[in-house]
Amino acid sequence: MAAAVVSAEHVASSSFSLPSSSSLYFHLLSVLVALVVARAVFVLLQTGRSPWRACRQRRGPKEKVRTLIVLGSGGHTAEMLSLVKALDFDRYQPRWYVAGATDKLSLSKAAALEEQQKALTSAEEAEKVTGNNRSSNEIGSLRTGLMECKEAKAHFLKVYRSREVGQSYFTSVGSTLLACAHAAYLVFRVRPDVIVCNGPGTCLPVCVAGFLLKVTGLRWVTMIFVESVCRVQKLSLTGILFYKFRLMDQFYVQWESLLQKYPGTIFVGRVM
Amino acid sequence: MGRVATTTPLGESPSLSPSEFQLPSKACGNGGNVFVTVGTTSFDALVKAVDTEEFRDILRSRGYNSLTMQIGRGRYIPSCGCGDDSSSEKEGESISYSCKEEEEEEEEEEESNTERNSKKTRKQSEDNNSRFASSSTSSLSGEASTFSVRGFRFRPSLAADMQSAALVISHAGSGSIFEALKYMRPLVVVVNEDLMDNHQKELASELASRKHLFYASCSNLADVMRTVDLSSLVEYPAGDPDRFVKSIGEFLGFPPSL
Repeated sequence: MAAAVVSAEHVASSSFSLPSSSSLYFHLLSVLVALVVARAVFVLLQTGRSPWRACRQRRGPKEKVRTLIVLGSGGHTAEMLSLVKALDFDRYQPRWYVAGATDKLSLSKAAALEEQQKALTSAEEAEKVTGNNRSSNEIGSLRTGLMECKEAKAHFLKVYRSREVGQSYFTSVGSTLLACAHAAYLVFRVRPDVIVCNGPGTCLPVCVAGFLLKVTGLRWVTMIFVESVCRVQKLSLTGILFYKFRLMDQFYVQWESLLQKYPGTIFVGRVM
Repeated sequence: MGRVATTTPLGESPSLSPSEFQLPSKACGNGGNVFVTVGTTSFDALVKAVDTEEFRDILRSRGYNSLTMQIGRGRYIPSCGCGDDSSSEKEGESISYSCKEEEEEEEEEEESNTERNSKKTRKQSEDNNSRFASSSTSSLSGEASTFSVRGFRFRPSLAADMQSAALVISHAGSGSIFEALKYMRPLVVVVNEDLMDNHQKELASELASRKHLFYASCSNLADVMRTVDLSSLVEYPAGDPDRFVKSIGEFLGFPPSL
């Protein structure tokens, strides 16, 4: 009888909970993967919901949001900068501009815009101060203080591009991985509150990294995509990917015809 | 001498701000410059299409008196209808070329500021090579219909050229299209049919259906230019990025005021 119990226990222990270390790790890993997947699904479900509606609180009017702006190239950059120009720079700061490593023009255009806005606000501030009849000394110190804090508000970054024009598809696998890794490194370092992008391919790895940032829970980054004004009947490839995977919190289109074709997108006119 | 008189108002016009312009379709009959732009890429087919005597005749008959071409990275250097100056051009260099149909000292001074600036940056030797005067003018045309042709590859900003133009003929890139619409220039967009991924067509045809511009291909550009009624164009209402910013701000939970 006792022998039978012992043998039954032995069988039970051997078949159920043999504490071999490799299977323990396997179990832990599968639990971890399940958790990550669950978290990812949760993030996807939450995507598109306004963060303030979820927690029933608004942001203060003076609150600052860390803003990552992805510049495409050519026409995309022009569109994005026309949008950026309309942003409230005191609210959307600091700003990080990201462009493809081989894109020489976009970042300098963004820098020019920053300079222009900086000159504008400092002139306004100076006017305000003189209006209050402050001493010239004070104005000077205020102005330099202003300049200093403005300096830190804009940053310019370059990210590897996943595929250059004319690159072969074979080597582009490697360069895509490199681009993703680099984008992830940048996004995890910056930890933005908002990512604004409008394609083309440059923004794909950045937005995937933004999604991963959400999954890790380090920061809930709101991702905003503005489809190019060139797209009237069909979304761009990047746009279709973002739309299908519901990666974006806000998906803007610039033509009514797209709004009808792709429900869930937002139409508020055109940026140009 | 009559030439100087007709070009003077053209040289002065760039200083006007866009708001001072009426939609200039009404003004196109009484002279003015036609500006052709291909953007940052190359679009030889368009340059070839406008660089014909036939096309210049059409423009002349519509009352334009000059043509400026921005040819980008194109391999085809326009002949300007006044001789072979392309031999001096080296490919890949950022060059400005210019050729005129008349040989007059005063004309040099009559040119717009932008032209003068680009002249400064140009090397003297190149200047001698690429600029030349042709004596064939008088045989080409009568005094009333002199027609000058200029060109360059790139400029940091085409704003001045756009603003001074009485008509813009552009490739279908969104940057050029919206710049011309911003300055309220009558616009004919030529779609590059050689491009593989031709989504540019979408934008041009949509804007054409809204009567903001005319839409052509290289093959029918001349026909379009012959028959087109520029006064039927409607002003493009500029986009409003503030609405985007407001929508984004609301989503982020900022108070709607502001």
